[in-house]
Amino acid sequence: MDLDKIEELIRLVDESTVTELEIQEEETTIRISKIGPAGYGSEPGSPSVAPRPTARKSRPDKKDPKKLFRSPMVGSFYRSSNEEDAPFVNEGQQVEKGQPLCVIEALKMLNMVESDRDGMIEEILVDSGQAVEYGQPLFVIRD
Amino acid sequence: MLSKVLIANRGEIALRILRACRELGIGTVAAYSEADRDQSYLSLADQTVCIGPAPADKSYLNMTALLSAADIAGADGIHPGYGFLSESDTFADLVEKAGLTFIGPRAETIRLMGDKISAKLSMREAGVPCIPDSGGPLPDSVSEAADIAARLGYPIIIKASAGGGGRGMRVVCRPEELAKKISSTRQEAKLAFADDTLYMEKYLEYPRHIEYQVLGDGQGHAIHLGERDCSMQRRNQKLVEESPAPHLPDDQRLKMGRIVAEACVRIGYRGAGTFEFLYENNEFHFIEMNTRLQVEHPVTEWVTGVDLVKQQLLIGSGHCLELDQSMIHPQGHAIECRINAEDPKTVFPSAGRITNFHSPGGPGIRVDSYMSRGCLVPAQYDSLVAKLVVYGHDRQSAIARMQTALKEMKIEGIKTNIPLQQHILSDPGYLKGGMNIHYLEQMLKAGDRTV
Repeated sequence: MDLDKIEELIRLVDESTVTELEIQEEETTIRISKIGPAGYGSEPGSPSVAPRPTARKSRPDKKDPKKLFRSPMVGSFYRSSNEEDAPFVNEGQQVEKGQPLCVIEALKMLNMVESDRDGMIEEILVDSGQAVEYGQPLFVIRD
Repeated sequence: MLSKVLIANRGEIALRILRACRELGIGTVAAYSEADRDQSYLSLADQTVCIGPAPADKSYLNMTALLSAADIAGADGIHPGYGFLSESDTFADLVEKAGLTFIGPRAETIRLMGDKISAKLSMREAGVPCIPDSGGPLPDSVSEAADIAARLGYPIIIKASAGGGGRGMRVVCRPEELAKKISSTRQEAKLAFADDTLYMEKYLEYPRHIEYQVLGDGQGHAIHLGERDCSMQRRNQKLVEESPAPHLPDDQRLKMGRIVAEACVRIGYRGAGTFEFLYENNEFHFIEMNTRLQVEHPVTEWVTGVDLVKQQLLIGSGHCLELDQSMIHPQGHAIECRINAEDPKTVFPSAGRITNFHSPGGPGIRVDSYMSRGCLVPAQYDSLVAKLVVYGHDRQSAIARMQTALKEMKIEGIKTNIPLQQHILSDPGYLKGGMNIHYLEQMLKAGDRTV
């Protein structure tokens, strides 16, 4: 198998949702895996406690890290304080520094999470009710 | 049986607990800080949760983050390991109030043993020999304190009731120093522990450190698993531990074991624990009880064949103790060397990336370590990176095995105390056995002079 072909395969795996691919050609076996060398079950930034993000959600680690707004604590993410209320923010919305973005429930306490910058909510990376860990990307905020 | 345990710790002990849980079929949640994101042991856990940034007060000491992590992961028990929150009665209380099992003693037991005055009082009542002391908090009056000191006989030591880890204590050798040392200890205690309660003890000058491992189920059963000699210390930090304690007469060994097991039954002790003693002139003197698993637990595991972490998990699951004293027959000799990431000369911590790690092997060798090539030893935490444990049919063969294992072990990328451990393991005093807790520092000082 020549190098160009291997490169092509790596690119295909990288762009797909496949985490591992093994191909055998005559006496050569190639295995391409997106799992890190330490053998993690998940890529950084996606908690293994939470259900995997739905297909609609794009992978946060492909985003510009400067645009990512990360969770300040472990808990459950909610887009509004009450189920009946409208979400604090929606995709495409302009936000100001200090504006509420979401609440995170930790030990039955609701913790208001405010934006640390002015910008536009380009993408919301987690669903309401989803468990999040410390440092997990929640929003993509564009300047 | 517990179904899923959150491990509120890191490094080698997190790995040790992970292994035990897996062997018992208990699910695992590894809580980790950002500094430990890439540690390889995390891959052994069924689930992982990042609980906070590197500083321990924001992660491994953050009770809210740990409980919240247990909550979202659906854990029904929390194992605190050693250090961090393992002896926090507040945390134990919060865990139980959240409806989870704290894998350790009840909060009130931790509280009782955490206060040195109440711990000694209850142990004295339970028939455990204690160092003669002031019998309670030291009075404010200097003349009353001087009377107590005279009764105990100089040298005496003044200790802060809330102190520990070598802080908040002063030795007084002469009556004229007493007033000044009481006032400076009181001041330090107030600043460091927000509690200026002091007490006074007879000071033992050349004791050995001998401790007893116990297991209790909190349901009326308790056993002891023999003793460990941890006298090789530097700056109050244990470096080498072994079981059995060299040259300790068998009748005395067994008698003290019976006493501590009975004391555990008496206080309804639940889980693994350790009674620490100073041993001088053939007498034991209780100093404190550690209400948790200890770093040096593997030496006891090896001579007794009991897996202490599994026992903790079974007891935490509400099981009665499956062992009774007649089943415990320690055999052979086990030694542990703590391998720390530190400069062997300056003793400064040496954090960094491990560029090469070779673990010794062969018969009678056990290495408990989270290290692998490429892994990071973070600067924020304890410097312990590996525990090298050996077993031999007697002390001499265990020592020979440890000498070889230390030579075989390679850790590159950071500095370690392996050269110091090699020095200890070939020192004539250590080879003889039974040295006191000051021996190592004196030996190192003498070594410096000859250099």
